[in-house]
Amino acid sequence: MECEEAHCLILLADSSELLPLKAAELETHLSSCANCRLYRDIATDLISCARKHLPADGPDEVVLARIRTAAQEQISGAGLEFRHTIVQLLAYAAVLALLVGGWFLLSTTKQPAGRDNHPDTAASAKSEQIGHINTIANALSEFSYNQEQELNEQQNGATKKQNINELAHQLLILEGLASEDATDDEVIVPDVELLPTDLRSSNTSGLLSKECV
Amino acid sequence: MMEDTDSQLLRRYKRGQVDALEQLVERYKRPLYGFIYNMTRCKEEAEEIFQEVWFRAIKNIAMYKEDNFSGWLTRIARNIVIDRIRRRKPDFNLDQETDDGRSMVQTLAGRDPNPGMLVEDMDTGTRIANAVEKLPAEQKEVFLMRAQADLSFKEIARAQKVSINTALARMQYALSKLRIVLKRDYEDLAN
Repeated sequence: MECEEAHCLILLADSSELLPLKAAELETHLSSCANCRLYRDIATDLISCARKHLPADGPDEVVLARIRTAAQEQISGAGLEFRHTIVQLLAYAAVLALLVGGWFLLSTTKQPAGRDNHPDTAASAKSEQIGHINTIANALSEFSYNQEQELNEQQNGATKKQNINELAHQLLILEGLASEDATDDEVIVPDVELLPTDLRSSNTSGLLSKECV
Repeated sequence: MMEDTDSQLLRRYKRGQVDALEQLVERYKRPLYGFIYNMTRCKEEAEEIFQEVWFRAIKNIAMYKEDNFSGWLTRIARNIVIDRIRRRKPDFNLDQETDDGRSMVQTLAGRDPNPGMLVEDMDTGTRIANAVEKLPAEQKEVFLMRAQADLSFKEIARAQKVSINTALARMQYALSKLRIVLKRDYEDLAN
């Protein structure tokens, strides 16, 4: 190791930035170089003396009090914003909880008599899935219906119903309960305007007759 | 009982505990104020800058994501000092005195108040401060950041926007000049 490099490493060692491997190399060099040992002693002494003796009493108490006040004001202002954000988050969480809770509640509702008497377990699972999807479609329909009240009335109901049908169709395709070639007749979606809850079961049985053969 | 780290104190402050920030102010009062004071050599100005550093830190503390709080504070301080120097240049008062009785002319020229005065007649702090004052600006800055603000060379390089090797070289030049200036007193200072 050259002395020039050793001087740099001495400064890095003083600031605790030296890696162990380099520190070991430096120690090896210092053990055989008196000049570098002298440089190390002078450098570290100068730095520690400066740290100890350079004037640095600190600011007046008035300055510290102003800083304290600014810190308090910042906390108070930030607290108000934080509370507003919490209220918003709670509102979103409540809506989400309603949707998820409704989904769970409906999915655990007993199926009407005569519907799930098929001995095949896979068919029962499929019918449950169909029920779930129709529930989701209902929720989407309701949401869309409510949104429609606020949006521009230029979009007609037929287009909206078609959009919802397409969405429900896609959901069924994802579940493997419909093919991409299926026509609209095979995808039973509740009418948007009526939102009949009783149609859910009749729709489901209709689909069963087509799919669970 | 172990002291809270800077990160812990910052988290506590963000949760609304003002005393956590007070602890940080107290912790860095001496190194930060010392750095500012020895850069400006004027108590009033140093206090103003110290206050401004903390105002800016408090304002931006929500966005602070680094792992070296003292480095961040020192960078803010350095920027304010440089801004003030640049802003004041047109109105710079050459006869304005600094706290150690020197005029700004003498400060700028790096001259001692009494060239004939023996170094050993001054107190240790003044001797070192005068010697540091004579250093070129970048070397003085590096030396004060290291000796007073206790920054690592990585942080010093970041603050000065240079490589670590450049920061180390500046420190070496500063030490060699200080050694010459304080040569006669070196044994006293070391003791």
